[in-house]
Amino acid sequence: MNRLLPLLALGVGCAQPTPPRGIILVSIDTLRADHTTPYGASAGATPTLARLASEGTLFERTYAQSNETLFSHASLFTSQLPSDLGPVDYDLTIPDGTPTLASTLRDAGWKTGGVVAGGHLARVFGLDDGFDQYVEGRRWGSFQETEPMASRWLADVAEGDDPFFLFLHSYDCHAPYTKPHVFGRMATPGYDGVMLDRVHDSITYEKILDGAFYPDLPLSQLENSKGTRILTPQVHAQLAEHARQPDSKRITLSDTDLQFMKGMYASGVLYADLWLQVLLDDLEARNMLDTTTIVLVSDHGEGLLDHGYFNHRDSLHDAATQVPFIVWRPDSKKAVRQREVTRLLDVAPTILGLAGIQPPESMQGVDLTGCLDGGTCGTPGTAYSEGVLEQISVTDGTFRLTVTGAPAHTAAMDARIEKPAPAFAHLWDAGGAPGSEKPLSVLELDDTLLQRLTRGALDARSAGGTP
Amino acid sequence: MNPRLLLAVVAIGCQPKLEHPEVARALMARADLDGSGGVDPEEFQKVSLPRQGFAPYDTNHDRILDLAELEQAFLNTNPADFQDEGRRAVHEKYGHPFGRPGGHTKGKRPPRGKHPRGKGPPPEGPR
Repeated sequence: MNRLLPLLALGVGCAQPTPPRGIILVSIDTLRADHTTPYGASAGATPTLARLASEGTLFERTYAQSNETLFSHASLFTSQLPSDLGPVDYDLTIPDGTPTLASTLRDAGWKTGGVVAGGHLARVFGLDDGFDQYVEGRRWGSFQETEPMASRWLADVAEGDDPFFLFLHSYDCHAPYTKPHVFGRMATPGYDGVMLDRVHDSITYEKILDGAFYPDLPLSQLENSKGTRILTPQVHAQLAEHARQPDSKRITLSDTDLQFMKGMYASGVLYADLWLQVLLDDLEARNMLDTTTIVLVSDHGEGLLDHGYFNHRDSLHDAATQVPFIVWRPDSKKAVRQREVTRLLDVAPTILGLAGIQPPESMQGVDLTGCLDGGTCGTPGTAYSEGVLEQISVTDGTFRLTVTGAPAHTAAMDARIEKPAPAFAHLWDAGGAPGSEKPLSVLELDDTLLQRLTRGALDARSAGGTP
Repeated sequence: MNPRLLLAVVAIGCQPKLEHPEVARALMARADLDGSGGVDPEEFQKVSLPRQGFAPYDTNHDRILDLAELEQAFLNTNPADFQDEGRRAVHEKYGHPFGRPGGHTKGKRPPRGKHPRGKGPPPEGPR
């Protein structure tokens, strides 16, 4: 029996929309929402994303549950907080038996394929669970490598009639910003300054603080349980200390230098967008575009010096956590913009909702299919995030509370959230553009707002059923 | 059959094809600043990273990169190789960030205990 038939029958019985033949979840790693056209960047920044948004549902205020690839994708796949899967460190592995988006779809008869660009999406972290095929490109790779592999997988599934789910990922926007290798400076032609060749080395980005480059910052690495050497996560604190030393070598970066670095990021964003167009062309050429739903997200943003640092690990501000989230359905070409605060936690239940499948109880997110055409989504109204540097944050889309100084999964962090104090808790007015957040005093904060934020954080933390 | 001809046919048959020439075309459109249909060295210098010299891509040595040459450039350059090459060049010029190629200072990992869901050590007690 065709596996689609029961789903179709279920859909008719519940007056639900007919599930699409295929669903593709695209994750463009390190893509800041505000650097894409539909979220306010120029028309030429991401024309393909603009097209998807003009024919689909765009969630204006979506926040990732972490600012790092591994934890954010683990959360995306399971619809659980990173700390519900284990301590938020680089040894995290999705525990065996945890229902994932892919495993739930596969159990319902969908063909599942994942094509990822390695790095922290390597199968050693358990992210491959539930995929019939999970193909890794070379580490920190580009769509140039993963999209053709995905295209071959799509060609295979096109020959049958089973429903399919594809997860496609790339690091085109991730440091070092040199993925568009042949033409790499489309956004910054002609630059010849001090960062020209240094931009090739991801270590460079770790040595920039508040517009200055510290070439002699001593660095150290550690080896995680998977045998991967990684930079010591606390490098940001080492950099801050190094910058305070009067004898540290310091190269002040000019506006031109910084524009070059940010322009290189923009080139990576544009390059990723070009490949997204290639994916759409592929689907069209295979007559699959009319039956495939595309969900586009990113796992986190990028600091770009908005809060002192270049990369995304150091803060949980909007720059690092506000991400694009667009749902494009072939049978609904209406542009809808949702203002409600949503989370990457909501992506898996929504995809399952589109597929006509009940999300497993372990999934903490909300199925947003009911608000794709407008109306209310029923989300909690706050989004909670966790970082690897003993940091958590919660936002209602206007204000943001960050709490630091204890590992995210511990009772000590609960205590700090319950009684925020200026020594470790900070409040920000985050109602403007990313990077324009204004610090507020926790002590002067309106009790109602503080309670709403802390309650949002504590509710999110307890949703995983922690003993 | 003429063996030379046979070899030529085999060579053509084995030549890898760019699966998505539209990407090369899109980039060509952005780099061809004067709209001449090709990219000259000046245009290339303005939009390309300097380490990627013009000459290796200009296979017919006419000082113009045409679309076929650009497609070939994509075929011959893996992004991961490009990154590795760039990083190595930076390390050669400015020194290795960890002191020596391939070397590193190992940080000490904290001891790992049992997490309520099977993972790691809650240093201050699980929540």
